[in-house]
Amino acid sequence: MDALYQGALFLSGGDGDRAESLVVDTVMLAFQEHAADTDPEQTRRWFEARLVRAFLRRVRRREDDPPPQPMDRDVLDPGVFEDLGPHRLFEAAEALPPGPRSALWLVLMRRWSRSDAAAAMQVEPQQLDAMLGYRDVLMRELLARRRNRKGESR
Amino acid sequence: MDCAEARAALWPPERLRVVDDTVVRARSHLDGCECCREYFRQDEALLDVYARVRELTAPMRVRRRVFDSLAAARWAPDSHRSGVQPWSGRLLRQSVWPIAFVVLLTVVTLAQIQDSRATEASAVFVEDYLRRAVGQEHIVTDDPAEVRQFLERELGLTLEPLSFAGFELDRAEVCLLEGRLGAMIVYKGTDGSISHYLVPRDDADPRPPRLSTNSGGAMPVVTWATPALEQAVVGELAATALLELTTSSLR
Repeated sequence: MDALYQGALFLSGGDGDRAESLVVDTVMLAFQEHAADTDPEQTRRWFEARLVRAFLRRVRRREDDPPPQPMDRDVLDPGVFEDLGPHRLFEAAEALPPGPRSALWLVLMRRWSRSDAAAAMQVEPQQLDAMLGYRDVLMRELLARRRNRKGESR
Repeated sequence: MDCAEARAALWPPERLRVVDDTVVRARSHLDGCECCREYFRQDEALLDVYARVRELTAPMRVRRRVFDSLAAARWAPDSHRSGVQPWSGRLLRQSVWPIAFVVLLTVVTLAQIQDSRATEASAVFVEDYLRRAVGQEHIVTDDPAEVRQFLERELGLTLEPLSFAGFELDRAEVCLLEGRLGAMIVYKGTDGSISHYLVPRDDADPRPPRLSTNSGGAMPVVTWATPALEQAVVGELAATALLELTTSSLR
């Protein structure tokens, strides 16, 4: 449950309410489809795939998510990974479109192979590769000192 | 081999892999490509950041919502939503609580003892699945204060765990009984263990402990109720001994 919630937070850009709702959707979907599997690793992956699908289905179904706050990135500040907390990662994730966000979560964070991730997301491998190209955007968002439009550092 | 191919061939880098020709060529590419080496260094750093996410635990509120949604689907009259046949009837009347306790005991025993290859009936699987889904954690402790805190946190119950002569507290965990969240407190003795079940129920009709006549002789069950709480003790004891032990613990 914790791992699902953490993934939901990443996919929801750190929004707790949306993450909770996404977890509930995922478990309900999983509950209806689940075939008993005694391998914990397979079960974990099975849930992760459904989390991503639930997220993408939501995104397709409705566009009521508030758009990300526009921000101007100014200074790249490499070498500060050790100071980065989860919320900074979520903020960076929120700057990505839903597809790339899902692809990066599966492949980079959950260590899925590209082919498995493409299958889980029901996209062609080439599409997945394009989505993974957003990794550079994620890194820049993560490392950049970000300012909002009022010029306040975040 | 270009950068994209090399990274794909070595992904994820921490996984053990057979060193075939592709892997050899990918590693060779890496040796001469600072860009790819930087890619994997950043990947490692990114993983470290994500490791901090793992410190975030799902709030109890999420577990409650999941539980409510699953329970509603599981016990809804329209069983099509869950694809699982409902248990026979609504087992919520007072007279059938002993049966429900025995069923729960069976589920717990199956989950803990049976070989994982055993084929379980779908209802049993779902019951266990739900039980695990809602259980934030179980605690292993012989400290009554810790069990009291556990009950308060998980169920909002303020009560002291019972003391059974000759038995010591062993652990407590969340259980699920016909869609109701409860707790099971396990006590260990020299000759076996007993389990005390507590299931909050607003319309519980207070009654004294008595031996269940519905357990089919599988294992003795003593049930009773206090205001807003159905309770039962199940144990590896003779029926009369279990009733006496329970009655003594309530004095």
